[in-house]
Amino acid sequence: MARLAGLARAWRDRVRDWLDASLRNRVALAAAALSLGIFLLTGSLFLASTVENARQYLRFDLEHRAELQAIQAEQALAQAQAHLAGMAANALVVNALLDSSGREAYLRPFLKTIAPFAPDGTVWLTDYRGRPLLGQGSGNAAAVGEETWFQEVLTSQRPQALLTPTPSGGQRLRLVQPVIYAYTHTVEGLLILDVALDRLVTLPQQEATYHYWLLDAPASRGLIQVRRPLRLPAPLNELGLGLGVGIDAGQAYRPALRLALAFLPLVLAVTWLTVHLARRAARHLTQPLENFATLVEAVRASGNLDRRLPARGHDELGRLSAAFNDMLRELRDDRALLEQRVADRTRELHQREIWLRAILDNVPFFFWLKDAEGRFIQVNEHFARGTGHGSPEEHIGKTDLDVWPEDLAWSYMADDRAVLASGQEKCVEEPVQQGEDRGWLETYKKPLHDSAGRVSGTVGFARDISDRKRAELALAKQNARLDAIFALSPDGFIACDAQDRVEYANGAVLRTLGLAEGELRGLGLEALDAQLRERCEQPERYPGLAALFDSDPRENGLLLELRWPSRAMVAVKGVQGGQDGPSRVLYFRDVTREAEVDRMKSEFLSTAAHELRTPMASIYGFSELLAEGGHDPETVKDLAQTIHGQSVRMTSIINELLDLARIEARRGKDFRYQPVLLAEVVAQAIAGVRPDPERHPVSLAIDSTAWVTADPGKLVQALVNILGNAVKYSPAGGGIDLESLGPDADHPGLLGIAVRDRGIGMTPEQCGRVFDRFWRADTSGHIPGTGLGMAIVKEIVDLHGGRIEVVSRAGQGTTVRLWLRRAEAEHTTRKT
Amino acid sequence: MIPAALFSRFPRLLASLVLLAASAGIALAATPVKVGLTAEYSLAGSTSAQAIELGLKAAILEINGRGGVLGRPLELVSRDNRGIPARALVDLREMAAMPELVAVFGGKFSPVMLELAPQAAKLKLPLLATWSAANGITDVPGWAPWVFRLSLRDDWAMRVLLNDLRQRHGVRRVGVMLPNTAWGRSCQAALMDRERSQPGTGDATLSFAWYNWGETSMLDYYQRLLRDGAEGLLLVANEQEAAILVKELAQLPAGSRRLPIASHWGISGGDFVALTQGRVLEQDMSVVQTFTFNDPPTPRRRAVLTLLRQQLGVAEPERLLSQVGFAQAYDFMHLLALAIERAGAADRARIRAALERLPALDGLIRRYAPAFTAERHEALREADVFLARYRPDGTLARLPAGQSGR
Repeated sequence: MARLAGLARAWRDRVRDWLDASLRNRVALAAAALSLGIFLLTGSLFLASTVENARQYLRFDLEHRAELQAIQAEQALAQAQAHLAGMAANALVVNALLDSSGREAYLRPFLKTIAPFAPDGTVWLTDYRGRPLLGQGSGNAAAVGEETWFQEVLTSQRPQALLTPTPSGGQRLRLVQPVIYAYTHTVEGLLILDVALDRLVTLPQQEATYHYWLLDAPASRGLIQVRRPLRLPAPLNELGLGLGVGIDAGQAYRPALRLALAFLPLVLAVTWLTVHLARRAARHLTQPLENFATLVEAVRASGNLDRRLPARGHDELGRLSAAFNDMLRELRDDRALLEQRVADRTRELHQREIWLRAILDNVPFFFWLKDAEGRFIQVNEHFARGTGHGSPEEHIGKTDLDVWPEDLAWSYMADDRAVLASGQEKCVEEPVQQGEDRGWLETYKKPLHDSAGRVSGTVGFARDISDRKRAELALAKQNARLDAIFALSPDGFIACDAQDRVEYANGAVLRTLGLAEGELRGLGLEALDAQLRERCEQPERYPGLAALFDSDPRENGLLLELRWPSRAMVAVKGVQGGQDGPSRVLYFRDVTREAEVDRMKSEFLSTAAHELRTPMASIYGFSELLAEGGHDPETVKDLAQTIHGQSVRMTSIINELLDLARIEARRGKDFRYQPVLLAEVVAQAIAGVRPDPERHPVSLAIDSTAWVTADPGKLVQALVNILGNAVKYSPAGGGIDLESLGPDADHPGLLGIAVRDRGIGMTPEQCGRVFDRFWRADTSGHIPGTGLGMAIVKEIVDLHGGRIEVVSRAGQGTTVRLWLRRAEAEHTTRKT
Repeated sequence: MIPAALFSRFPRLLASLVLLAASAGIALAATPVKVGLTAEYSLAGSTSAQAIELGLKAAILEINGRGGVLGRPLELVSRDNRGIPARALVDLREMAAMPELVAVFGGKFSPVMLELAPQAAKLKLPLLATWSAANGITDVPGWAPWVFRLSLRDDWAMRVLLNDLRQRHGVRRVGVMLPNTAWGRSCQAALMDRERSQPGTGDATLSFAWYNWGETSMLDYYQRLLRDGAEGLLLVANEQEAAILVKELAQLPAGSRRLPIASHWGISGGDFVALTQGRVLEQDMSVVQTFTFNDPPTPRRRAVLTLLRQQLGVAEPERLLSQVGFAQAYDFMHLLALAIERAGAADRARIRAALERLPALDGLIRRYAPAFTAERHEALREADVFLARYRPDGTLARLPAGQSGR
């Protein structure tokens, strides 16, 4: 196979060489092919029309034969069907159904009448269940009750026609005619005819030429055939019978084939003649061209432009020779001119190259050109110094891998590939190692296009931007630091740009104003004023931010009382910025706490003064009375006692005020926390209060192992105050219960003590004020007290990190619960 | 007159009525004893099957009213065989398979009964002929023990009809029109026997024309007989073919020769007056019968008429169609009930034997004393046969004795 293919290739090459060898060969081949093509085309058309005519004739012949046979077949089938239908309608057949004993005698002759219409057929009568009653003919009368069509015939009362193939390859036709009983209009029997189809319809003997068939064409290839469907009455029309006639194609087209065979030698003769004539004509045409080709080859080989073609007549070839001789002359002159011009241009180019080299070598940039494979074509002096790999000429042909450290080289080559692939320029800033330090280069790369516009390499230059990059990094670090400071600052800052629009606002401002950063950024001063004004308690008195920048920066400042997002006092200051920084900076400080403290201080001073003035007024009045003299000793004693009593009260007020002041001032710094046994503290407190066991019996339920961390003195003071209240506010007497409380879910890690009295109790409103200074539950004045006791208790407990709860109902007594931190286990064990 | 349609429309309704009424009188807890009927219900224009069924039901109503048989109610199972032997055979086999069924009554068609008789003998099932007349039904020894008839026989009918033509009309040559069936052949054989036994007559006095069942014209046969020199027509036919002939004769041109007709009783199996559009009344036509309510009433007949009117909803029982079928079936049912009681069990073989040893019974048609013997399975006698004529109301009335051929 391979040898054959090789042989074919050799021949193909030989033919191609032959064609290429001479114009004469090609002209000869083209002329021969053209004339042969025309000859073959006309010949083929002639053959095709001959075949078509033969085909038309054949078709007509077949249709005619099919029609003749179809009419005969239709007649035979319809007659058999009609006769059978007539028999079924005959009263004799119905009668036979009722006459089982006598029907044989008359029915058999009657059934025989079908014979002329169905040669060798079998006809029989069945009862209404399809069982044969009487049959006549060559075949067997079969029971048909199980046939698929049987019930349909009974119900529809329509005749049936069926075809069944026989083992011998033929077909049997079965016609079924229902026998209808006139008095019931029901099918009471069937008359069935069974006959071989080819006996019923006789087709002409299968001649050598023509084939006839009724159902399917014979399975023979190359049969030209015509089928004429049979037009038959029902139910025969359901069989799809058609009369087919066919003829062997080989036989039909034999004359046309002979004609084609006769045509073949003619084709061969014409082909030979055409090729011969075409070659002669081609030789005559191409002789002068061969002479011409010989001269051209000689001129080309020697370069001698002084040779000439011989003169020749005035036909096309003569004119061509003269023109070619003129052209040789002009070529000789032009060549001399061109050689001079090339020498001039070469000098000029050399000079330009020197200039360009000077420019490139003196710019402070790295400059290079690379081909598509990344090899340097040109680099400048600066570049060569940067790589340290010798002169620019020594870089030519090298790659980045040859002159740079490997990691940098790979990165540069990746950039090159990107530029080559995309055809787009690229500018990158990339780190480089500069001795010990790290530096940066800004590199610009662009694709290099050749004269055809294709990307043929890259051109690039780079400059050192290390200083600039270092400055930018320092600035970014500084900014980050400032951002962190401002973000963490509790005070707010807003910085505006040159157009007085908000450029920066820190978190504190946003929280104070209840705005998101996006909502604030870009707002002008007027818009910011509007935001602030609508948050003010008294918007009409809001002066505007411009006021901040009118006056002396040290004195300026606004105090705003904000209504929402939360009630707050905010101090605002403004700074006019310099030329380079922000134009204006606003400073917000939340002074709510300071304002509240101021308010409380004033309120406390006024209350304390009022409380002190009452006993002082008594002392003042009674002492003045005493000074007037003239009083009996009893009166004097009374007056002195009153003055003393008021002094004691004043002293106790002052003592308690001092206690409170001290506790507040020291904020627990003087507290000496230690593990304290709760039972001990309770015992000291009871000893301090000494309640009357008759009027105020005390019941104790204190866990003797309960240790808390507390300053024992302060805790005793707090308990004394609570117990004292319990006694004082139970004027009608009543027991006092003390009970220790274990830690629970609401008070994890805390232990408690509850003090419960059965005194006058308090309303819920009173309960809410019980820790206010100088507030007293008793307004009658019969129960002594300063109104500071519970405030002191609260301070002490808060500083202990504990909790205090008061539960009370008017007239039903009060329960106070103290919760204190439980002492660490190691302390308690050590102590115990 | 009861419209024929009533028969075809209500037979099953009537059956349920019968059972309903019977259930009032007797304990129905017992399994019914079944009797079968296969007859030509659905033939167009035919009332024979309906009349037979009515007769059976009337008797069953009375019997069940008295407590049934063997303490069990009687129940009728009926099937339509359309007059086709093949269908009747299927009915018979189906009924034979019913365990409680003791006997099967047949319809009017002799060919059907001739087909059933050997089969009944093979199945050992009593077959009771209520109307079919072919002699062979009870004559063939092979099956005779299992077949009983309460009807006339063809030889009796032929003798009466021949006598009528000969004596009343003075006919010498009789044209006989016969169906191309076993019935027709049975009648022909009877006629031939009769003629041979008559001295001085012989076959030459008879001329036969055979027609087929389902013919659409009968005139050809009539004219063929005329050409043969027939002076009177002995017609063996059912109502359909006979009606065609009567109408065709009526359409013959005036002055055409019309033969006196003596007809076998097949024509009374329908409303013949209506079928002939009254033309039968214009013809000189006599028919053999065994019963008519137009005869003078007896207490028994009165009782049955009352039963029909009151319990079976028949408005005018005297005008009942196919009265022979009714009466023969009625009497036969009573005979069968008696046989069942005598047999002492619903056992087919014992009932068959009991039928041959019945006590005397007064029926609608006659006093049966007894009905059957081992040798004789005919319940009627030739003397029970009489000639009748159609009345405008569709019923048949006995011809006066003087006009009768006997």
